[in-house]
Amino acid sequence: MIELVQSLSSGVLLGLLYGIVALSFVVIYRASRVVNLAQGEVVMVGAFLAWMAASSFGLPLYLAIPAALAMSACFGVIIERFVFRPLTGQPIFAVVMASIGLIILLRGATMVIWGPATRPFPQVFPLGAIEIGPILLNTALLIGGVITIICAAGLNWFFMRTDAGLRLAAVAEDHTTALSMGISVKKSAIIAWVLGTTLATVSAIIMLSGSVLGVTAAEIGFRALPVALLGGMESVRGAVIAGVLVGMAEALASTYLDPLTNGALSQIFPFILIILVLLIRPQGLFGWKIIERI
Amino acid sequence: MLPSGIIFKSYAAEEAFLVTRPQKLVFALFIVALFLFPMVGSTYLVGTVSVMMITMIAVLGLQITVGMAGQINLGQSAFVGVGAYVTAAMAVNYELPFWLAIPIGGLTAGLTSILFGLPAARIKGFYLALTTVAAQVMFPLAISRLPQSWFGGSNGMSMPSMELFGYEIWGQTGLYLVNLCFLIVFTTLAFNLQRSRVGRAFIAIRENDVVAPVMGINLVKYKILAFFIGAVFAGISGGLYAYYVTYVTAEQFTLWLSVIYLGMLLIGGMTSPLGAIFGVIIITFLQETTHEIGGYLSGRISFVDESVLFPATNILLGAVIIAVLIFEPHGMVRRWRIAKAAYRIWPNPHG
Amino acid sequence: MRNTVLSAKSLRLTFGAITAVEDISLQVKTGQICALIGPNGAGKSSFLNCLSGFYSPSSGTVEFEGEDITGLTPFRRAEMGMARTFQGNQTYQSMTVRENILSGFHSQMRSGLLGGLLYWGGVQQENAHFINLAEEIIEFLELEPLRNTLVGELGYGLRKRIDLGRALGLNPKILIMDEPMAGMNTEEKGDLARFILDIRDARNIPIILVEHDMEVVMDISDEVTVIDWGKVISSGPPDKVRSDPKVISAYLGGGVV
Repeated sequence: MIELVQSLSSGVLLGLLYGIVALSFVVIYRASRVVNLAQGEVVMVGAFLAWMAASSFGLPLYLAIPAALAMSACFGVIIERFVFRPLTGQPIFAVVMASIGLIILLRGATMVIWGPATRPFPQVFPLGAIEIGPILLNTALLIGGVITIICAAGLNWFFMRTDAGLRLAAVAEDHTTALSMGISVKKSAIIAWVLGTTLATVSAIIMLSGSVLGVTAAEIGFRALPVALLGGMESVRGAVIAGVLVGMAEALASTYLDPLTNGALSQIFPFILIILVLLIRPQGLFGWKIIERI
Repeated sequence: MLPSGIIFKSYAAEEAFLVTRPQKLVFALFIVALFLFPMVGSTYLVGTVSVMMITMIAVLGLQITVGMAGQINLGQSAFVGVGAYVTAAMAVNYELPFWLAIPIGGLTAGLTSILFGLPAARIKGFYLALTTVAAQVMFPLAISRLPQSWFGGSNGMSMPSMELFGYEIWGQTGLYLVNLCFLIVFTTLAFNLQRSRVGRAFIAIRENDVVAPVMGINLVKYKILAFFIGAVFAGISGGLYAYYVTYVTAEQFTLWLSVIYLGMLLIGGMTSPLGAIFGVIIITFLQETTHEIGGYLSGRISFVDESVLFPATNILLGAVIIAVLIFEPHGMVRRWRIAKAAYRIWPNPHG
Repeated sequence: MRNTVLSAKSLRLTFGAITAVEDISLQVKTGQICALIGPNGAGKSSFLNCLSGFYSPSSGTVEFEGEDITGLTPFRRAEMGMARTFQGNQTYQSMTVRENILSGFHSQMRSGLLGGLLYWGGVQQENAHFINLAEEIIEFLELEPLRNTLVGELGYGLRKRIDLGRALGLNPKILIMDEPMAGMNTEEKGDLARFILDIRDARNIPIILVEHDMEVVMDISDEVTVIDWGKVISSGPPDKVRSDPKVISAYLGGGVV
């Protein structure tokens, strides 16, 4: 019983980490209809920026983190301006291919700028675990989970309750209509990317705090994409809920099924999930069902 | 665009690729030159070209799935891996000759891809790309967890050498010639497919998957078919690769490689099998040149070494992919056609 | 006595709370041009999409040559001989004119994957045979000089003509045309009207036509059905419909009496 509760609660925390990375997919998709396959690489770059601010510049953490977030916001603006803005109006195929180009580019750039060696990531959150009765919770992930929920609540409010947020959705729906309504497509895309890259950096800090940083950090991208997909690519709420669901299922798989499959199942679980979601409910749990027209 | 004075007597003739006698002659000479190449090239060069040809078959397959049918495939290298492993299993466990083992590897890769193409029944657009990522991630895990007697588990598999009529095919030259034969066959198949009914259906789906079914095309069937045939090419490429490297491990077939395959296709041009060929040549040339320059520079400038140069190539590659998408969405194939047309009407620029 | 080719019986289509088509019935007989008109948003396109299987109606049935096809997928209907053209530009841009039209013959051709890969004699002959047929359509639509031009390089009016050619490639028993003349100039409209009449007369293909240009509709159609708010408000020969007070009030913006 304790094993089950322990496994589930660790799963929830891991799921919230997936959730915040999934959120960074969602904000970009929601406002610009770009599925950025290079989002894992964006997380990786965010992590290196944070590392650079704290370790290379030697800033104290309370300065290093804002500096890292500011740098990643700039990074978002750069990606939007030089990669995706020129592709506005191109078929989705071209956009996805560009994000694949971005994967190659960002990996290369990271290796050239920071080198391929792994390095210790600054410890942002306290190490160790909090005990609640017999249950142990990883402190960094717990704090991270709270941050995820706060971010999600904030974004939900932004998208649902503010003019600017509602406009983002309108832009994503139809560029021409949005333009005729006097909404700036450019501005919305920039907001989306700034939000997306900053969130990615936040998730990088949660994921890596006190741990080891290397190019493998990018792998979180393809693990979180199924979560965004399950939640529905447009849904902020969905990203978090799906994150928790996937995290729990993965934890259960790793506790109870991995001994049978030699540790394989929990690793491929999110990807089995992709296929199931796409077969059963392609728009995800909370996504918008699109009515096609001819 | 054709030289003036060419009149077709039949529609079939118009469909042919080589029209004029000089064209046929040049092409025949080119093929002969390819066969004679090992006599003049260094062992290293012949080996490089061999790997290029193996890669070309995989990218040709990708051209069918991605270029013709418009279905993004991020798992091509997993299907190459399936081909390599199944070929190895056939050659090692069942002692089949290479000309049987490789096609079996290809077909198995194709059948595997159907599993991941199935969601095509429900979804449109890029989402299908995600199932291929799934294939890519599952592949190494599946290989290492399946019984060791099947695929050697996490140890990999060692390959026997190719044999034909009792003679061992050995050395870079022998492998080169086998690879060349396979490449010629599969390039021909890809070109044939493009002008056939199935190829036209693929292109129709790529161009407009809303309209294509209303025009009588069974969307699900053809999407799955596009995955299947693309993966068969990948499997064949994998089989050849297994014989070439003589040792197969799951780490040889990464998501990264799939991404690079796509990059090659994109730079070469997605709309023609020729694009696959060009793309592989361009990228290999780029990598080899960087390698050379790196070797030259690293002795002279302290901070330049392999660890910087290899990723630097990727910066260039990524940037070129993005630039191609923005400025020349049809890839180098279009430039080639423009150059060809310009050459034909030269010296009268307005034809 | 003319045969009924296509008949839709009290079709209804809803998207969530929105009712796009409330109740539309329609019968099309051999050799008839049957026009469907109505204000914007009246449900014409949704109705056509139900006919070609792109949407599945919430209730009602579609019968084609006496067979119930309500549950069939679009490609099955196309195989049975139901062809259509589309609003706007829906041709295959990167194919040549001839390939576009050739793609319409898809369901009549037989060669499969293996044939396509090997491209042996039989497949070549089949291809040549259907290219011949495609050339007949090219000739009929007066597109000869453009047969090897990429459609993406052509103007809007010509693309609509190629869209029509591709539909003819299906060797249709009925042809559905969704606003074929929208965005055309007078000359192009004249050409297209001539083609439509030719298709009916020479090939005896019945046509369902959704069109906004009233003049053209009244000139060429045999039967006119007026739709508003997802319902048929009037139908009959053009002259009768023209003078129907309900139609006049719908078009002048008054409520339906």
